[in-house]
Amino acid sequence: MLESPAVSVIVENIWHIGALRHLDPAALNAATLRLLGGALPPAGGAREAAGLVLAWRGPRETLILAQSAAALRTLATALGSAERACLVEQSQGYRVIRLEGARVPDLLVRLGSADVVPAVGAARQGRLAELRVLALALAGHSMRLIVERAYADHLLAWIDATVADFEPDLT
Amino acid sequence: MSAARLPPPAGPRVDRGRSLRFRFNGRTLTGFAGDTLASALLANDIRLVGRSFKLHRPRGIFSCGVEEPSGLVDVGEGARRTPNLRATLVELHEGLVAASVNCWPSVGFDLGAINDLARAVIPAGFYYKTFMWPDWHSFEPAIRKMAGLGRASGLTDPDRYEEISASTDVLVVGGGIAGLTAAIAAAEAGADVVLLTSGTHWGGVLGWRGNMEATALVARAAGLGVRLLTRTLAFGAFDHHLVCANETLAPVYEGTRSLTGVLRERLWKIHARKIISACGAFERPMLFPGNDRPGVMLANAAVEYAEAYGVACGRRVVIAANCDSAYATAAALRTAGIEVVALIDRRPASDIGQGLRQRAGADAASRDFRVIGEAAIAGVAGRSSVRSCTVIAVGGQARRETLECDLILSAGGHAPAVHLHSQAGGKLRWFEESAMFVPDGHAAGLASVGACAGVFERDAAVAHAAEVGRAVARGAMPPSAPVGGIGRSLASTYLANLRGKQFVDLQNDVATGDIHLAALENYRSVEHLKRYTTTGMGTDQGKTSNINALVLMGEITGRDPAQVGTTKFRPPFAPVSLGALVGRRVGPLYRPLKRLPAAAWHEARGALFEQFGNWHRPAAYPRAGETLESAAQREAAAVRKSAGLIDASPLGKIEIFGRDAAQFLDLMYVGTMSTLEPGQARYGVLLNENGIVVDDGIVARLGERRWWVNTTSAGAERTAAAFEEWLQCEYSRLEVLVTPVTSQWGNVTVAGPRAWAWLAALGFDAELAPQAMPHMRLRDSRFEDMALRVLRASFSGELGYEINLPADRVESLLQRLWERAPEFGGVLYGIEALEILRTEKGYVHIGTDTDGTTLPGDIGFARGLERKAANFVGRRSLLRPAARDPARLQLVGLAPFDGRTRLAVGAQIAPDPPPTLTQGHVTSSYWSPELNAPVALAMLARGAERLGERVRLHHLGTTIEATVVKTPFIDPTGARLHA
Repeated sequence: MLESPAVSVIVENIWHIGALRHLDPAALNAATLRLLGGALPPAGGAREAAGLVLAWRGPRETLILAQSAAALRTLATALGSAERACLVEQSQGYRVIRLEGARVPDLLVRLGSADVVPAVGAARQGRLAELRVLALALAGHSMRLIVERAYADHLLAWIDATVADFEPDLT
Repeated sequence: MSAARLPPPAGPRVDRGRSLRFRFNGRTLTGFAGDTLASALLANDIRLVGRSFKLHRPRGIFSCGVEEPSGLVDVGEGARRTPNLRATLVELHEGLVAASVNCWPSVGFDLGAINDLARAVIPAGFYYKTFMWPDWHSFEPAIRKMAGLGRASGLTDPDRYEEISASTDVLVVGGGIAGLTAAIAAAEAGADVVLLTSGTHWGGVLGWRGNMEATALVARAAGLGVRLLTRTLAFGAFDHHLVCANETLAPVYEGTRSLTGVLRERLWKIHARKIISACGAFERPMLFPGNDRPGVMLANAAVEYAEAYGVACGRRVVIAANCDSAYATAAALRTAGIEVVALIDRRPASDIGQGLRQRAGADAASRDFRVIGEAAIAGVAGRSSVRSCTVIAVGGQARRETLECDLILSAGGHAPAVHLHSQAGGKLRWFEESAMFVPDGHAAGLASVGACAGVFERDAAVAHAAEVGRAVARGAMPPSAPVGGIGRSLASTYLANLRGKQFVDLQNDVATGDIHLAALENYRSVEHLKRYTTTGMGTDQGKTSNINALVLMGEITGRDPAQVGTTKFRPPFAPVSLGALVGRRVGPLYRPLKRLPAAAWHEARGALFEQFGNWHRPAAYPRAGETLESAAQREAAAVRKSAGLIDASPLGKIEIFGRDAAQFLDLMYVGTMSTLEPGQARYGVLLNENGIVVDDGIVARLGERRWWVNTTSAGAERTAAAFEEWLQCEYSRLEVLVTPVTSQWGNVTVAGPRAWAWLAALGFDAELAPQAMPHMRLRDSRFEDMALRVLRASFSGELGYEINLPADRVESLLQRLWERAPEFGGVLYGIEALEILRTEKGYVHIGTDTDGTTLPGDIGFARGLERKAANFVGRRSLLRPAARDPARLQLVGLAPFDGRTRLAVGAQIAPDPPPTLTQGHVTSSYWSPELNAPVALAMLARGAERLGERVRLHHLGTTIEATVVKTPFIDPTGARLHA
């Protein structure tokens, strides 16, 4: 965890993560959609519903962050023997890093492309610190980076080095 | 104040109240805040600044900006010494230390200057002709030692560099009046605008003259929300409207006392919807004998030093010219209080701009400078500074005159800075009147304004820039440029039949004779001319030499400049420090490395970590007194004898789901996967469309629609990406979902004859016992509270259990197993031991034993191909006759004939020592603890037919004999594996 006047960085270990894979959103049954609190987020979107965070990760993938394993199990059960959709356990596959502070966008443009900086309600994929990262924003001045677990240390080290060089008056 | 300083109001850029001390070549000097190193040196009357690259001729400051070819210096000391900086761009700072480059023992007395005496025998191209016999490599070390200019420190740079990305509607490059105007117009039209200038000041000529208009424009731009960046040099325009720029945050000498370093430079990657180039123009020098002497410089530079820095580069000035703009230059110098002895105009009266000639005549009278028409400089007196010059008439008139002077200015017309335009794909056209290449329309996504568009008249440039700014902001077509306003200029700057070298490229010592030689040897293409003579190479990239070189080549070969054309303007426009390009990618951030989920556990057990693929993982666990190799030997022996434990978490893992998953896997792998029942697994080789082996692994069926794929550790991401590509581009009708899960699942592998005993002792499910679960079976199981996915497979050739489990439980399982290890002779083993084990077994390691030419038949998988009726990726390529050529390299085992010597990996197999045609090479080689003998794998031509043959291997001058043998070296029946 890094606390700086510009940005605070918190590794969130609270999340249980599932990759909801589907051949098209219509492949999801009613029970699944009810558990998800409605339709999947649109392309490039992220939303919070029914205690879950849903982030678009591709045309056939929505990442689901839940605060309990039971929520994911319920979802997997609801999917049941669906022929065109499945839930792949990824709780250990990813690390979730929460960034807060007014300088978060400044940080992201120093980690990679400006296009990765998500607006509120958006999930953007891109290359940060040479890694494939999903950035999502559900509120202003707060973003989450979702990165493959094995690379998390590299991303955190890059963030630390960048934040250490933040000048107070940089525009 | 030095004698060279002009009184105020000259020099608004410098703060005369802030004196700065600096050292140059060991001498302590003073300058003012706001000076560049070049202006401060000139103010101190330092003329001799460096030595040229090849001939070591004395050179001084030649320009006032980025185009500087001669004034190169090393700046800073110790780890912060930065070589080859242009003195014209180095901002002066208290305590700055600078030194001349390419000279020994001193810039005044340089032994390398002996080259100048031998210049007649080292013309352009002499390298290519002279150093061919007996062998270029005989000369290479000495030539390499002589090459280069400044010296890098050789120490680790203590400072830091970062990269930043930005997006904008309009990017304006260049902070002169045209750039400012365009930026303001675009911002007023509602665009988000970024404006860059490479210098410290805005407004170009107006700015350095202290004109308030420039200040007002900057304030207006800032008020409109334009993002203004100074000290930011745009060095390249790339695809998709990407411009890269380098921002200097802290000059090299800052942070000298900081142990942790400073953030020195920032590399900007700016994606713009539209780009406006307002990069100005460079002055073209005149060619005449002695035109490289310290004290000869560009005319505009002398004006800028006088007006902006209050520095008189000389007191008695002669101007060599062939263009109308030189007259304005002469007038400006006179206004600054510098005596213009004469303006030598190469042109006949008919070539001089009519209006300007009239004005110049009036100016000449009123300003009191003499104009000598149809004349040229035929020689310069003085070696380290100018004393006088000789003027002759052009065209046969017998006139010869010596002019006393201490500065010769060169005004050969202008060359718009078309680099960004050209990099963006824009075309150029030759504008005859002013003898310059200008943009031929706008490039895709990039419009040029101001001098770089060929628009030199101020009002026209401002009006055009505003129109362009508005147009690009609205997404409209920008108007074409009203080229002109600089008067007439003669293309030729060269006068033949003069005695003495006339230098075209000052940095590379390319003289007119070299251009003649290139033409004589038929290197007439401008690209060949560049390579043959080296003109336009180096840190200045020919900004002052390219046009003169191509014009001269045109004169020699009877072509006009448009026919000769220009070389490609490649990025970078100016040198960029390696630090800026590297950014944060140094030390631990050099490249992303994956960390094992139980890395700390391994560290606590003495693991020696190394990089394998993109993973940081244990190579071995050396005990006290052990080397990596001896530890690996011990570990491998223990696995064969009892059991070993390895963290194989990096093994690639992919979940495949979908109605068509079986069909898809049949397409991807050489082996047939669709016949597998749930719980069964099969080895497979993955090919690309050319039939080349790119990965291998094990495919297991979890259920009707769900599959589990293991890949190599290094190939996990590549394989998943290949699956996706085939699915999206070729087999989009298949209903398959591919989900990489390598990080989700850790893997603890237990291998060895006592592997099951070890697991059983801990209470693993009896259904996993060898008799209940044969080789190549997969079962989901549990151990304590851990959910496991256990695969019976082996890369060691021993009974093996690959236990997959959630990554956060790997450490727990390792610890539980490790606690019971002594009972079973169990060891931890690393990658080095695994390599020994698999080589003993003859298992191929993709990427080690294979390369970008290896087909499956080469490594023993031909039979699988023939049996498989269904199509698969790469199949068609394998049916070509060349793929079935028995002379291909094939995987074999090698046993050294002496039974003791370990073969070198990479050793070449051939009857005779090199140079000769190789028959193959060693790919893997280890000492086998099981056999107490060396074992090796090799790719050998016709290898399968040559079992038992004795071959010779050559490596670094040694030769050894080995016997071609069949693999595996141990357990040929697989009894251990199927235990």
